[in-house]
Amino acid sequence: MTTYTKPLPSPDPDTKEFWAACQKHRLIIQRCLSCKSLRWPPRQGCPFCTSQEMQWEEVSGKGTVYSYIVFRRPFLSEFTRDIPYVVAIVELDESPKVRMLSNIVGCTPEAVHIGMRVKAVYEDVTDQVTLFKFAPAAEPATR
Amino acid sequence: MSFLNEKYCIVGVGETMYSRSSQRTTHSLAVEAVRRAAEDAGLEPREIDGLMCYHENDSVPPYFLAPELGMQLKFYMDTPGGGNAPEALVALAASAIAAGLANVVGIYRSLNGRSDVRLGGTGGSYVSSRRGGGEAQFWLPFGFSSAPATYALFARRHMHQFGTTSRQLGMVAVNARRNANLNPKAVMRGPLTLEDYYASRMVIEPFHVMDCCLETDGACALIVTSAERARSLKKPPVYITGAAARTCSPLVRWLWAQEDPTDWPGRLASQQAFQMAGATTRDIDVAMLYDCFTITVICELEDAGFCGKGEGGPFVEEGRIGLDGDLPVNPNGGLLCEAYANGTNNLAELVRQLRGDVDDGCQGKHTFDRTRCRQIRDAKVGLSMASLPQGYASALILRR
Repeated sequence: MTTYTKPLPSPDPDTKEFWAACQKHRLIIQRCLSCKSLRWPPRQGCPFCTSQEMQWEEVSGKGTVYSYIVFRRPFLSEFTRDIPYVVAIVELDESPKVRMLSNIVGCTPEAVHIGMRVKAVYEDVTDQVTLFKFAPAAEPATR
Repeated sequence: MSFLNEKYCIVGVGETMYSRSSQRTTHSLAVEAVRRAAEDAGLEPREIDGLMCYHENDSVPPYFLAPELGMQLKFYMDTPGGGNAPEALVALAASAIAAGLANVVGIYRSLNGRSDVRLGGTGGSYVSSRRGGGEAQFWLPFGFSSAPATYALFARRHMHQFGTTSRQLGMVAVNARRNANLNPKAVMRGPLTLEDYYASRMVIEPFHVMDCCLETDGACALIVTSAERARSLKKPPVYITGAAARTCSPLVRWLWAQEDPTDWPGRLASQQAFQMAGATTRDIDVAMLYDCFTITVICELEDAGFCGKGEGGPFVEEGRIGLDGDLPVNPNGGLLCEAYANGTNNLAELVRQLRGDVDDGCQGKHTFDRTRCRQIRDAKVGLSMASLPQGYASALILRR
């Protein structure tokens, strides 16, 4: 296995559960126990109601492309060989408040469009780190 | 009426040459810009007793400059900030003067933004500092980096939601270039047609390189004082009548989490500034709209209320932002073509426009001949604003 040289996430006390779940190929999101909003990215308090009480909840990983861009030139040298690659904002089926940034993989950049159905896929990039990405999905929206 | 009204003003502006490689330190650039602004005002630099600056990549703090400018600072501030900073610092300078902390306050931005620390993340020192920690843990591992990437995501959504087109984005770039061609300070000059825009290199779709502002070296400075102090100075004062530097309400740190991410914070900032100034969009003779990317101009037209939501693209396409349009926008060529002095250069232009003394191709009196003159006819009131999709914005209304 070749050494992975791209930037890795540095989990912190607010995010370590999320990345640990990713390693198990599960996507978990924080839900506020007061206003019941799902929120992203993980943090101590709720940005919608300020409550500090929350629980982690597993989500389906299914969503819709909300916006996307195609890198035609590298801004990070480690990604030079990936050009062209797609970075998208994906809105999860569970809540419009959860819009996650990641890559769209498994199709050409030309195939990506706003409204495209996607599902989470996992890349075990090192022994310790798994990244979540999104790939085209056939199923229609669940909500 | 706010405490600001007619009591505080900008009395001097100045800058270094803008270039792609200054071969000078940010310290030396800042000293020159402050000296030039003082000279413009008819002040000795030592009469400046407050000094502020902002930085996002490189800079130099005020207390480093003070000795060689002969200043004994009673008040200084060096704050992180981007395009939203200059308007905020002008308001803060007025507040500091009102509070008796200082009498004459300089504000500058100094950077070697092309030859040294590039904001795009392609420069030496910036690269070594990038780690996937904090918020970056949810961007960097996916190869997401740089301002163009952030703004391109918002541009794509705006295009999807409102039918904004590449042609409309391109016309913002063409307007900037046309104006820059009348500005001897502008780094980017020469003809630019829509065809040239379409043919320009694709950087991050949907952005061509011509959608992105310049990266330049240089410094720019402004001087704020009281209306009373201004009476004995050289240039006619330009009064500060409304100001705001604020976040969305409520601010969801990642604007993507907002219900509608095309609702940018400039809407609230401009409302606040207009209200403070007792003015409306109809009063604005010239607008400096922070143009780090073409899309921001379109969104700021909407945010400030010059047109409705989603109508910014057609507003540009109809030619209304030209020098003789309903609302001349960025007559200096803005950040797209004059220089990336992070917005301070746009404020300097606004001050000169309102004084009627921009440096164009006219010898002496302004001719309004658009092959050489970029002075806006009878410009009395102007707006400068920056609305940033990261969730914060600023707005400043000035009048002569």
